[in-house]
Amino acid sequence: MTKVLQEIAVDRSDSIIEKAKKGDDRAFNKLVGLWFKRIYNFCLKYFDDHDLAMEMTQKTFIAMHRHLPGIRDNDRLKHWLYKVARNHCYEEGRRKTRSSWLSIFQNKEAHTQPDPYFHPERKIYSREKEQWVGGLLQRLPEEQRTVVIMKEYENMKFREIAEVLDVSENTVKSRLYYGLKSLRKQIDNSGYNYREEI
Amino acid sequence: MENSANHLDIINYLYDEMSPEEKRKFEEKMAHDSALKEEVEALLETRSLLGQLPDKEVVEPSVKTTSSLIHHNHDSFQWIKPLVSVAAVIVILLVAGYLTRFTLQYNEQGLFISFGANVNHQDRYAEKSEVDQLMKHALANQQVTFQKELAKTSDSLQTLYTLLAQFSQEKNNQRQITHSKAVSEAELKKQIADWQSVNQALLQNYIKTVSQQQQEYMQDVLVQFSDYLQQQRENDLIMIRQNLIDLKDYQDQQKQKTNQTLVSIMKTVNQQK
Repeated sequence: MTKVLQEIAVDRSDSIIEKAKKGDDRAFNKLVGLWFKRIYNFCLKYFDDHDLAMEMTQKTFIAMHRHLPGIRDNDRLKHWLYKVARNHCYEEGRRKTRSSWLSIFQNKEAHTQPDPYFHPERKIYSREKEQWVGGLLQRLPEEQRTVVIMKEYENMKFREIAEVLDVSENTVKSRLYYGLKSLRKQIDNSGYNYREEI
Repeated sequence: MENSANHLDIINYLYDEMSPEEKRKFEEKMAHDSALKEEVEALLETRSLLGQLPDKEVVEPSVKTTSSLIHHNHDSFQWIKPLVSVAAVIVILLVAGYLTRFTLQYNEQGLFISFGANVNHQDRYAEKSEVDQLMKHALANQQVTFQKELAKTSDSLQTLYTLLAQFSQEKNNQRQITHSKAVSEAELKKQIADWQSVNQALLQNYIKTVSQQQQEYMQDVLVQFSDYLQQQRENDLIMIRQNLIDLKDYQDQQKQKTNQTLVSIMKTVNQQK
């Protein structure tokens, strides 16, 4: 329900964008509120690291603040935001030198809201599974990972992904196919019992 | 089924991008091609697994978009920085010069710099005879020192030679003693066994110490991590409590507004009557 309301709000954000373009701070804040979660989750799945995801998301919205008046077509804001977020992630990914073991000590759930249906065993298993899936995504090449995240988690159309990445729709489909194949191979080789339920 | 002609069809099928006719044909093809069916099922399962990585809720930071702060401050006062730096350096130099009583003098004899006292440039030149005498004195001193050092070195060498001779004599004696003693094989083995046991004990002790240190370290880390989690949870609870209070305030305000509106409507209705 919340998701549907969010989508409706995004669809009807034209007037908010116009106000934000004119320097209305409240409108800009509303715009950030509409898109923050989506961009954050895109970056989070890209890096599997809360801190980096927050950093990239903030960079994306700083860029939005600077360039918003230059965006002529309001309908293209979504593509523009994903493009900027993806570029930041790509640049960061290239110069990322952090040791992966450090992430053990990072609280990846900081700023996240507590689960009302808390069940310790199920929670641990589900978190383990989430971490496992997140880790599988990390092992994909950057191009395939981006397409998989955009299609599977951001529910973008092939045309939209093609526009954001500046490639043809068939290229997007190819990358998605090879990404899924690669994930399948990793799943089979991992020996992880993902079918087990608690 | 990994040829490039079919993978687009697979993706179109998986993401429901086919017309009903295309879909029917593809399903027919799958029914006859077990490898294709297996691949499609495996990819569907992969998608279902990906679906188990949910979105994380995140609290967006409140953005203060004071454009004047971001743009104008940044651009307009950019030139002040180097000026302030230069001024600060000049002030520091002046203060340092004052504190060290720095003096700079220039006359026909040249440029003179001093700290703490004026330069007495009248005494800076000596007569030639004085210079000759000073040099002779210095050379004589140098010669005496050299002679002393030479004598010392000669004594040291003599001592060293005597020591070497003694050491050589002792070595010869020891060699003769060693040859005279025949070390049995059993004694040798015993000695080796002793060494091995000592080494083993040392190694065990080392491993024990290291494992103890690691345990202590891990306990420390776990305690810190637990504290950190506790702190986070407390912060979250505070935030939630604050939000609930805000929400209640908002609801109260809304209720008040609604009441006011209702009263005004009632008034209007009464007036119309």
